[in-house]
Amino acid sequence: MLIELSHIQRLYRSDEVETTALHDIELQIEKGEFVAIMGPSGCGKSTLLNILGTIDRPTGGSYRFGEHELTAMNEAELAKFRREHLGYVFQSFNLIDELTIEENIELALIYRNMPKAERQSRVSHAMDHVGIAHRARHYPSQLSGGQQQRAAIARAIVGEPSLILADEPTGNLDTENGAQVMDILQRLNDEGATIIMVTHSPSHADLARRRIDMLDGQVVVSVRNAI
Amino acid sequence: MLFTILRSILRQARRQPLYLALNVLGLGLGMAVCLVLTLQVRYEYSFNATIPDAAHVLRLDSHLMFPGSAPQEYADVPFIAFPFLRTDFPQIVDTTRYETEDYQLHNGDRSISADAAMVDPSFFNVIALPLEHGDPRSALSRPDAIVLSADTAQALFGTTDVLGRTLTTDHEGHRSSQTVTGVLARASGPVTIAPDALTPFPSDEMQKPQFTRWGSSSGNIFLHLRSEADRTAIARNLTRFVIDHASGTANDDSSEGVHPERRFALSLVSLRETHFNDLHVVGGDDATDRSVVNILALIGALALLLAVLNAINLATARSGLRAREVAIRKTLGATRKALFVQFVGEAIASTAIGGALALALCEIALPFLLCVVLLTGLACGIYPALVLSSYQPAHVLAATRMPSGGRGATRLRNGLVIVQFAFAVAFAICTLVVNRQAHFMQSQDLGFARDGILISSDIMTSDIAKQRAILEALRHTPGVVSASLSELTPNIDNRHRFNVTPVGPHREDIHVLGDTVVGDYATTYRPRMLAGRWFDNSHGEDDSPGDDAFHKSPGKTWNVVLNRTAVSRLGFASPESAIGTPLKSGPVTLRVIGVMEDMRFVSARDDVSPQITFNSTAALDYPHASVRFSGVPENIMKTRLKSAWDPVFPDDPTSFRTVQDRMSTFYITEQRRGWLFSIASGIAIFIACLGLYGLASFTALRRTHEVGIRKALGATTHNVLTLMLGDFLRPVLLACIMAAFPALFVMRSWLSGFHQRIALSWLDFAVVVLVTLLIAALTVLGQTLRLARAEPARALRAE
Repeated sequence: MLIELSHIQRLYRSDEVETTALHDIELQIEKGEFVAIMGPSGCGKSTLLNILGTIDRPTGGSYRFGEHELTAMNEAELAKFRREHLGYVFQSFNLIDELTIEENIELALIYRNMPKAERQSRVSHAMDHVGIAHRARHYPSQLSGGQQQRAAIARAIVGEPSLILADEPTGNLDTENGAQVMDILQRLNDEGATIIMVTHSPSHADLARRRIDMLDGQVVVSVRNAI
Repeated sequence: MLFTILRSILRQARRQPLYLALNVLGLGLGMAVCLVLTLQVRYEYSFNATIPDAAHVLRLDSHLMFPGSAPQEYADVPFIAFPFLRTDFPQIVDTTRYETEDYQLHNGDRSISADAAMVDPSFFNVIALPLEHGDPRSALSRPDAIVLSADTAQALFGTTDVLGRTLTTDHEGHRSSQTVTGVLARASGPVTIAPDALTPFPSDEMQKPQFTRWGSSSGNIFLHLRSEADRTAIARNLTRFVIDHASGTANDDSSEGVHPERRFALSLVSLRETHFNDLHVVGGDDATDRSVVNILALIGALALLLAVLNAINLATARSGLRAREVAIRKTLGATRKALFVQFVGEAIASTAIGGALALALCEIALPFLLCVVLLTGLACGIYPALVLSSYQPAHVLAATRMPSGGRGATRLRNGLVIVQFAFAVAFAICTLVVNRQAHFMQSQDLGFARDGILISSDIMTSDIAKQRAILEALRHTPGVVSASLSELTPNIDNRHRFNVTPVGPHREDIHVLGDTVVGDYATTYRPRMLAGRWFDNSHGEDDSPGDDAFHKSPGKTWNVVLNRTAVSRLGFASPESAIGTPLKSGPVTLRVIGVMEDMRFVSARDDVSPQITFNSTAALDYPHASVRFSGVPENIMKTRLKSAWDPVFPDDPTSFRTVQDRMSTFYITEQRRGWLFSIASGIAIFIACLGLYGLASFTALRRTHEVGIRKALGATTHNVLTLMLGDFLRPVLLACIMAAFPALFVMRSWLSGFHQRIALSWLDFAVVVLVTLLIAALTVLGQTLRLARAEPARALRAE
């Protein structure tokens, strides 16, 4: 078992209101799975993905990742965990405007203190993998949305993570570019990558091996797709 | 439009008070500094500007050149030159002599001391000081005429309308009745020629010996010319003028000898220049160091420039935040021009608020304020307004993130930070070096034990009995360790020079400074002996006679002590080799019995003169009394010394001063310069830090999302902190490097003007860089820490 969430809860408190974003989530994900999370806006999909990606902390419950109990880790340990095990793909790409595509992809490796030569080799390989090598020296603003998302995927996979988290990766793309991105994710999954993807698109969710539906902060359905 | 601008400013004040406060504070401070310094600089540069045609009114200065000494310029010239000027130089429109004297003026029971100038009747043709009453053409034509300043007339008569009134003048014991023939108008600007009274030279005045000899300092001579070309023509022929009129035989006391041009020269200085020129002119006007004034001007301009850069930086950093507002305005029909005008208007309005602050800081600057506000506002507003008004509404509204302006804007903002800090660092380096030099000058080895010495003013008598009486009185004052009389003391005001020649072939004269001492001089000043011995009363030839007797003692040999510079100028290989060597001074032979270290009685800017010291039992020429004291607080010792002094010289009170006190005038300029640089660097660093702080605030806002991405990719708080601090401090470090070379070059050239100076060190640069980086880091630390600690999930949502 790669991921095991137990009684995960996420509350947001302000002076007057307490909002429950996630309520008693129980979830297990095997290594090599491709899971799509669906649900209406505000159901807690992105919060769940953020907690899975350790960029948000649950207010209750347990999150085990392989041998690691992540809820017990401090911030520095979580940062180390993220750079060694996780890759992110965001809906709005989240490339840094001031860095070139090459530099954006390399960023994920810099925090690992990897030697320059190895970084370059990995970046080059990742760019080839998603077909973006010819745009290496361009800045994000010089690329189309589809190209930017492919660059973001390259950044997510360059560190060879145990888990790729994709938050509506096709949400800002047209149909053709969306399909290309899904092709890449499927290919990565076929090569052994574990992927958790939040999406609004039923057709894209059907491309995953398992589909989880959420409503009001809870997992209501978890079904395996017939592929 | 005005309403829109004011509403926008009010909204900024409500929603972004930090931005408005940083902007207004920076602009207010910059404008205040600029205005105050502009007024000061304008004042310094406007000396004599109100005197008609002052640029063509020239003072004739003299220059004396002695072997072994630097040439010295004097504002006073020998009046013997006066009659020849008109005949030799037809370009001269008119000339006047001008000699100030202390006068007592009496009108009945009202008496005042006046600084009166004796002049020629042509005075007003040369220096056309405006008269409130009287006719300048005839005011000085009567021998008993006197022209009063308005203040003097008011003080003596209670009114300035006093033409024809008589008063009694008392000058050097000579009383006479004089008639008021004019009253000078109050000057409307600063002037260097502002006598309390003007009166024609008494008819017998010119018979005095000092007016009939070349080489004497009689007073000022002013010339009025028509043009600059005339000045050039006259200046070119002044050497010929000296040769023609000052030549004489070697024994002719009234001449400058066979080759007067070798030791005497004349030059011209315009009335518009004297205020700066006279800094190193003996007997000149109260002068200001032009470099200090120019530094003030530079500081003023830079303070404003830094404030403008600060405002541009803040405005462009903030422009991204206002992009959406621009887009909405454009979709509602606003033109680029209208938006441009609005944003420039806002900049001028912010500047006006800063101007109000500046006004509060310098209330006298009103006449220039409007102009400064307008220009500063335009300078601050144009570029940001161009950026803001150029946003494309569809692009901005469609984007989920605010436009950052791209790499170009980042480079511009970094460039502005670099410029701001470069000026700040340059000033800081100068501050450090100037203050170190000032401190060095005050603490340098003077060649004698400076602490524990008190020195009187001149003893104004050559009565040997009186001189001995004061020496004994001081010697027996409780607390006094030793007492002596000497002609030279720290901050020399009485120089006696003469030529000496080493005995031997092919030796040349050197011009030396002479000092004669009496009493326990060696115990009082503790000069460091390099070779030989100090004077000892048991040696007969140690006591030389007084000045008069000295020259009447041909064939006699007197023992003397040289200083290190004299040994070197006289060509001796070492202090030891000079001992016992005879020197010739006219008919007298001097035997060197000792060599002492140079005793620095002059400023660090000047070199120490070669000096020969005599020991004498005769009366000295206007000596000072010096005592070394111990075991008594300084103020009590001063009181005791005054009690000893007053019975001996009841009509000539003195105050005893320390060596440090007497030499403080040497350091005032450097201290003032150090103070100015300190203020300038303080202001520059403060404004630069304001800019950096503002920039950090906006960068924190703009880069929060980026921090979220980085943290999602595994960056720790420490990684982000290092990155952000590095990004903020990189332009500061670059600024340090850029500023260091020009600052060190300027300081090297400034230090070269000192005979004794500190060595420039890279440590100066390193200290300034470290302190600047530390200040800059502290300035941005709060914002950077907040940014680095941002929770990644929240940071990713931030826009």
